[in-house]
Amino acid sequence: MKNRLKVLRAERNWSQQDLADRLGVSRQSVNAIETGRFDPSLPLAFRVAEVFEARIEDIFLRD
Amino acid sequence: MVGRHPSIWGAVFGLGILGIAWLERQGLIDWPWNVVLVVVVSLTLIPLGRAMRHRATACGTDSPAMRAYTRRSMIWAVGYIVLLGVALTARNTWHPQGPVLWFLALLPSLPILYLIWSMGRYLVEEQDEYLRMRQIQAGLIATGLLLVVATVWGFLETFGIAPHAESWWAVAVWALGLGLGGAIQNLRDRQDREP
Repeated sequence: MKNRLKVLRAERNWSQQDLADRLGVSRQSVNAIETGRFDPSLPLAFRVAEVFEARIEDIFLRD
Repeated sequence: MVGRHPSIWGAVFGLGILGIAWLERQGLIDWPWNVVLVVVVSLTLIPLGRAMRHRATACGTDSPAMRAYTRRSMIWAVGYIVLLGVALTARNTWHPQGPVLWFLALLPSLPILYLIWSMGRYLVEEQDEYLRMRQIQAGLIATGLLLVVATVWGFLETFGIAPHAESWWAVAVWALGLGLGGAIQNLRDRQDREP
């Protein structure tokens, strides 16, 4: 699944570690989601949406 | 020294234990020096544990569950060496029979059972779903490797080509596969690492 994590991070000047700390996950998890190697569960996708104050469908896009 | 790669400490520990086993087999050392040497070599598990944690932090795969898993790994490794040494020494010295022999034969399997429990416990305790999935994938790679090795070796044994392999080798092969699976994932993660 495609996503806009990298762009949203860049807009806020956050590193992967910064986002990982906000989500309470490892930096490797953020990396894996960002590069499309891992699709997060619904609870984690909701947490990502909350952190970026956006809707899930504005962050995660269909292939 | 702690900054060294965990594999270096792992190799030092493994070679140390193999060296002690060789010295003992050659009759060059006996009790209590074998125990003293095992304790000295086991001390390398402390920097190994620290190096594993530093590595996990650097790779972004550190978590409380992983730290607990690493700590438990140290416990079973030391426990296995000690109990195996005790069981073999007691059998070779006193040649017990009956229930005592049963007890001694089962003694080295206790830390391995603890290892299996700790691996299951890690999956329960890990809150990071990606890290949990990584471990499950590594476990599947390990299971695949074990099935391949057991099948091929089994038929080689049936046809009288390969010598008999004790079934406790299963955990060793599985653990090797787990390490292999982890290494494959680290390699894949490194390719996508943020600059």
